[in-house]
This record gives sequence, structure tokens and C-alpha cells, in this order.
Amino acid sequence: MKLMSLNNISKSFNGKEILKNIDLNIKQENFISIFGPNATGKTTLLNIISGLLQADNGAVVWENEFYKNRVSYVFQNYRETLFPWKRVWENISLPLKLQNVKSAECKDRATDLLGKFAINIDLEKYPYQLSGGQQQLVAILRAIITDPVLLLLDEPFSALDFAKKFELQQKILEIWHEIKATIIFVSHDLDEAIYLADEVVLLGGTPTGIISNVKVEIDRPRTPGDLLSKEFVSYKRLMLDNFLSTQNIML
Amino acid sequence: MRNKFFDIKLLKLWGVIILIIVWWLIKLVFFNGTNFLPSPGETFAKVMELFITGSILADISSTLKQFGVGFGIAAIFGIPLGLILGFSKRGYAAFEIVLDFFRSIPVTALFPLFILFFGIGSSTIIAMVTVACFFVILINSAYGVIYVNKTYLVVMDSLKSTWFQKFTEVIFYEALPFLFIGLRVAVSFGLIVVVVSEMFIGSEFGLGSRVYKAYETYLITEVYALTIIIGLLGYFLNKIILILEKKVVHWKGNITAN
Ligand SMILES: Nc1ncnc2c1ncn2[C@@H]1O[C@H](COP(=O)(O)OP(=O)(O)OP(=O)(O)O)[C@@H](O)[C@H]1O
Ligand SMILES: [Mg+2]
Repeated sequence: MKLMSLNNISKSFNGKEILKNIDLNIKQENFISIFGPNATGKTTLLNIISGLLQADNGAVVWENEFYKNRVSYVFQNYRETLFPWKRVWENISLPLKLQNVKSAECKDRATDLLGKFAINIDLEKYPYQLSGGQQQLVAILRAIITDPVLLLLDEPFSALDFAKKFELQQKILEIWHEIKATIIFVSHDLDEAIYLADEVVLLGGTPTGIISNVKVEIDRPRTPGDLLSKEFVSYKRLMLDNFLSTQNIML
Repeated sequence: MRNKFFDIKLLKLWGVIILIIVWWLIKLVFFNGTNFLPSPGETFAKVMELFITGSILADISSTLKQFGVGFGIAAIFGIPLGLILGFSKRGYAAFEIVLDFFRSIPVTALFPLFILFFGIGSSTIIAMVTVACFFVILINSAYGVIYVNKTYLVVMDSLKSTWFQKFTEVIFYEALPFLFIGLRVAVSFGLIVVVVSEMFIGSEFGLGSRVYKAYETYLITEVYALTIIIGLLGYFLNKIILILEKKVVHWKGNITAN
């Protein structure tokens, strides 16, 4: 079932065209990775999907208008998006508070959410008392506490070390499995993009367009061992080929 | 863990000790035998005497009361007005010139007008303090809102907040550090103004009028003792605000950059 589509989206900043003719259909409950180098307009695209930014041309078309208000967005600069005057549980449950849910229930819901995903963070702490990985988890938990239909994640793990990244990748798959939302995951790590996704959208060119759109049919649940499988490597080769050909580099 | 005389807490005391020694030397070298400058010992004895006999307490409480009422009125009106003004770009633009004008007038210049309206007495002193504190509190509160971190507002947009929620959940907290700067400056202004006004008015009680009376009757040691008491009062008022600020704005200076 289709969730939404991007129809011929274009966007310029100060007369410079950044995104051009982006067409994409997003299926419900799919995990879509968007891969592209710096400054290709990945964040801009998420801003347009979330409704924070208007496209110059084209449209974001929702299958059901009701879905439009159930989008959660974890920003790229997630550290700056947690409020330092709010405790962890207050940050996580802020979306509920904004819907006038009572404080006691907010706290319960935050506690439940942590329990559900076996996440161990002290709810009474302030964000500045947490590690980078914990802060990222808090930002993600805040995004999912409202049961979104679509979850936008902008390079959520790029600041984490190897081990932590692995751990959180498994966590996000677990969360995705549990909440059955559609996820659009921006990454500039090709391994990560393929490993997590049902579909990898490759962005590139100037102005940015979609280079290719590859379905990843590796069985789930996936384990880190898959990163070395023949199947995985052939996906990676295919995408690298596609990507490098637009940069006039041949493998 | 070197010499504990250079421990940071003790270092702070060194400054005080050096000041007293320098004072004492100046007294010995230049003012020995005159009464322009009493020795530190005489002066502190006088400070003690003023407290022990209790004769200073009525003055302190009168000064504090007038300062407190003025400061309080200024804060009660200045903070909300400043926050609202900062929130509304048009509102701020509309009043910017007027505000800058009024805050550029030294309050002391308003003294005659205030006496005209409020008479010679406590109301005039309170009004002076209020005006001195009001503008600096208002303007700093407005700045706090104007310089709010825009990322936070985008986050609130993406969480579909109302403007009122933006205000209560984000803008208010973001404005707090500025607001405290306003309060601290206001404490200093307010104290200057209350003491000067008391001197002018010659009120029955109050540290300002007490200093002036001591000067008129040539009680020089008492003048120095009173000056020290006024200084200490200002110091502790500032400290109180600083401690409050540290408690309330606990996240400031704690936000890691990486
Ligand atoms: N509000 C804006 N005003 C002007 N230019 C902008 C604005 N937002 C983005 N841009 C420009 O658009 C281009 C794409 O930016 P965007 O942040 O979408 O890239 P990105 O693919 O997310 O990059 P990164 O991988 O570094 O996060 C950049 O050149 C950027 O400078
Ligand atoms: Mg980006």
C-alpha cells in the first residue's frame, strides 16, 4: 500500500537549483534509505516531506490526508534539538505534553517506551548529562512516542563510533519492526544504507536527481554477518557502479 | 595539590588581605595623625559597633525595603513586558526608539520631576529605583527572546506546537540567561539610586542619609564604616542573584560542544 509520493519535486536556494525533478513513491511500512554525498539536498528533501519547507515545484501527495499530521522528524543536528532545561522523560514526552496529556501520564509513557525497547537511560537526567548515543536515542524516542506513520531520520548515527553505530542500527530495526511505521533514513554510509533498507534511493548529480532506486531483497531479520555475504556485496557493487558513473569514475 | 595557600578559595581572600594591608600602609605613610582616613582597625571596630548597638539595623532595613519594593515592581512589570515585546517583532520595532531614549536618561535627572509628583519621601525613592531597574530588566528580557535559538523553534514547529506553547516550553527558558543579566545590572543600578536618593531627600532612615548625616557631623570613621556596609550589601545582593541564576539556569555552561 502506498503511503505517499513525491511528484516532480524541485527546489532552489538563492537561484541555485538544488533538487530537480524528484519522483518517488513510498510504500507503507517500508524502510527507505536515502544515500548521497554532502550537500546533495538530502536534508532539504526531508524538510520538504515533513512540511517544514515548501517545494518550488511539484507536490508531496499523501494517500490519506490524515497521515500528513503523523510524521515525526529526527533532525540531523539532534543534539541541538533536545531541550537542556527538560529532563530526559520531559524531552521524550514533550509531543504528548503539547497535546495536553497530563504530566504523570507523560512520565509513564516515557518509562514504558524505554522498557519496551530495553533501553537503559536515567529518565531524571538532563540531556547534557548523557553520551552522544544516548542523546540520539532520546531524540528517536521523542519521535516515536506519538506513534508516527512516517519517521524521518537524518543521518542519525553519523557521529557515533563503530560499536555504538552497530548497536543503534539493530535498535532502529527493532523499533521499526515494533511500531510498523514507514522509515526514511538518510545516510552517507553505503553499508548502513543497504543493511537497513528495503529500498535504497541514490541521490547525485548537479542539480541533484535520483540516480537509481534499488530494492534490497536480503532476508530479514538481518545480522551484521550479512555485511559480508555475496548478496550484500553485489548490491554494494551495483550501487557503487551507479554512483561512480555519475561522478565519471569507473570501477 | 600544591601549597594550599594558593587554593582557589583561599586566593580569593588574598585580594582582601592585600587591600587591607595597602589601606593600612597608606594610612601610616600619608594620613597618620589626620582623620581623613581612619585605620582598618578603627573602621572595622566602628562597623562592629554599628551592628552591636543595633543603630544601623533600621537604616539597612529601610534601604533594603525601598530597594526591594522598587526592584520588585520593576521585575514584575519589566519581565513580562520585555518577554512580550521580544516575542512580537512589530511591538519591539514600535517601541525601540522610545525605550532607547528612556534608558539613555540618567534616572537622577528625573529626580526633580519625581519630587514634584511624589513629594519628598519614600515614594520618590521607590519610584526612582523602579525606573532605574525597569528599563534594564525589560530590555534584557526582550533580548533573551529575540536571541532564542532558532533550531528550537523549528523543532517546536515540527512537533506542531502552538505559539503559546513555544513561549512557555522554549522561549521563556531561552530568555532566562539574559533575564538574569538584566536582574544583576538592575541590582547595581537600584542600589546606587536608592543611596543617592536617600542622600538628596535626607530621609529619617536609610544608609544613604546616614552616610550624609555622618559626613555633616564630621564622623569620618562612621562614614567609612557605612561605606563598607553599603558595599557589603551590594556584594551580597549580587551573590544572591548569582546563586539563584546558577540554580535556575543549571544547563548554562553545561551544554557540551561536539
Ligand atoms: N535555507 C537555505 N538557504 C540557502 N541554502 C540552503 C538552505 N538549506 C540548504 N541550502 C543549500 O542546499 C544544499 C543542500 O543542503 P542540504 O542540507 O539539504 O544537504 P545534505 O545533503 O543534507 O548535506 P549533508 O550530507 O552535509 O547533511 C547545500 O548546498 C546548502 O548550502
Ligand atoms: Mg543533511
